[in-house]
Amino acid sequence: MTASWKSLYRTLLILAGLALTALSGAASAGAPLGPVIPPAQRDYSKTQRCVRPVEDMRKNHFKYLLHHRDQVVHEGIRTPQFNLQDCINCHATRKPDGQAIRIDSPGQFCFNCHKYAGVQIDCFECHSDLPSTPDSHFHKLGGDYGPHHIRYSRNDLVSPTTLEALASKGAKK
Amino acid sequence: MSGSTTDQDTDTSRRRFLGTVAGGVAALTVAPGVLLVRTAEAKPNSQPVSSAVRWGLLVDTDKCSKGCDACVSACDKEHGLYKTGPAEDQAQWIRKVEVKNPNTGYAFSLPVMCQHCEHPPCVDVCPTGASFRRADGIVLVDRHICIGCRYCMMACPYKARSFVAENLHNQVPDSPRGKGTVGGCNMCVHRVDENENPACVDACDADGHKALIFGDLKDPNSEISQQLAKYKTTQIREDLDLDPGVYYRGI
Repeated sequence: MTASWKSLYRTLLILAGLALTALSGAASAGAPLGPVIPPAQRDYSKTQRCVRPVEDMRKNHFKYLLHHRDQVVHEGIRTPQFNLQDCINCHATRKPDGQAIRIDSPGQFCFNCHKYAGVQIDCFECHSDLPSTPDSHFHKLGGDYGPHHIRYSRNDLVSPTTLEALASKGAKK
Repeated sequence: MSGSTTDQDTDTSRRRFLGTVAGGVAALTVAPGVLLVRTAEAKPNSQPVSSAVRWGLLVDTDKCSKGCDACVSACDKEHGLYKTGPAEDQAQWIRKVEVKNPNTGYAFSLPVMCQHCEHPPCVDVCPTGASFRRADGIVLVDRHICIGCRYCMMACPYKARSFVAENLHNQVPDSPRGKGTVGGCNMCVHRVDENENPACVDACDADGHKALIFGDLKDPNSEISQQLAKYKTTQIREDLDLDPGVYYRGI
C-alpha cells in the first residue's frame, strides 16, 4: 500500500467515526449511553474510587472475584480487597428509612449493569445480596486496603468488656 | 487461578506457624479457676490455612443436656437454615441424637454433625472436587463447583450432609448456600478463620453446659488435646478408619 492510499484510508476512517458519533449522539439526545447505576457509598481512597481502577473493574471484576473465591473457599485467604460482601456493602444503596435495598434488584448497581450488558448473574442464587448486618462476620475483615474497611485488631479478640463480664460471671458461680 | 495447597507450601507455613505460636502464647487469668489461653497472633488473613493445625471438636456427652438443642438452633441461625419446604427437605447440619440402653434404661443425648474425617469418603466420591478437605482438616463443599449429584450424601456414614432442593432467598452473608448444591457442617470456617469458636460451641458455652470443646488437635497445649490425653474418648464408627476430627466422651 502506498503512502497516499494509507492517508486516504485513514481520512475515511476518521470521517466514518465522526459520522457514527454524530448519529449516536442524535439518537440518544438527553439519555445517557451506558447503564444508569447508583454511585458507590464511598471512595476507596483519596486517589482511587474502587479497589482497582474503575475501568479495570468494569472489564475484569468477575476475574478478580473468581480468583478470590477460590482462595477464600479452598485456602482460607480472606483478604478484603475483592471480597464480594465488601463490594455489596459499598455499592448497595438504602431507602430513606435506612433499610438496605437488594443489590440484585431493578435500579441497583449489579442488576442495572448486568441487564444492560445482557449477562446473567449467578452469584446471588447462593450469596446474600444485602449488605452485612452488625452481627455478621464479614464486617470484621480488616486489612490495609484503604479507609472504608474497618480496621480490626486481631490481637484484642477478647475485649475488656468481655473480660469483665466473664470475670463477674465466674465470681457469681 | 490459585491451585490447591501443595505439601511443600504447607511445610513452610507449618514452620512459620510453629514459630509464631512458640513466640506468642498469652495466658490470662480472668477469674479464679478461669484461664484464657490464646495465641497472641492469629493467622494473617493473607496467608493460606496450613496443615500444622487440625481443627477438632470434643463432645462431652455427660455434660450434654437431654432436650437441649442450643447447638442446633445456633447452627440454624448462623447458617440461615430456615424452613423452605417439606420437613424432610429441611437442611440439617447438626442434630441431637437421644440414645437409650433398653436393658438398663440409661439414656443420654449427643450432637452429631460432620465428623471432619482425616480420610473423608465424601471427598473420595465427589466427581467434581467440590467436596474437599481443607489443609487444616475442615471438610466442606465448594458450592461453586458442586453439581448436586449427592454422591457425598450417600457415602457419608454419619448422614452429615443435606441437599438444598428449594430456591433460597434470605441466605446469611457468612454462609452462602443455594438450590442444587449440598451443604453440611463446615465448622463455621468463617468464624474459625477469624480465630473464633464455631457457633454451636459458643451456644453451648452460653447455656452453661460447656459440653463442646473446639481446638487444634495438633497443638499438645490446646484444651482439646489436653482433655483427649486425659480422658477416654471415642470416635463414632472408629472401625471405618476414617479418623474423624470429632471425639466423644462418655459414649
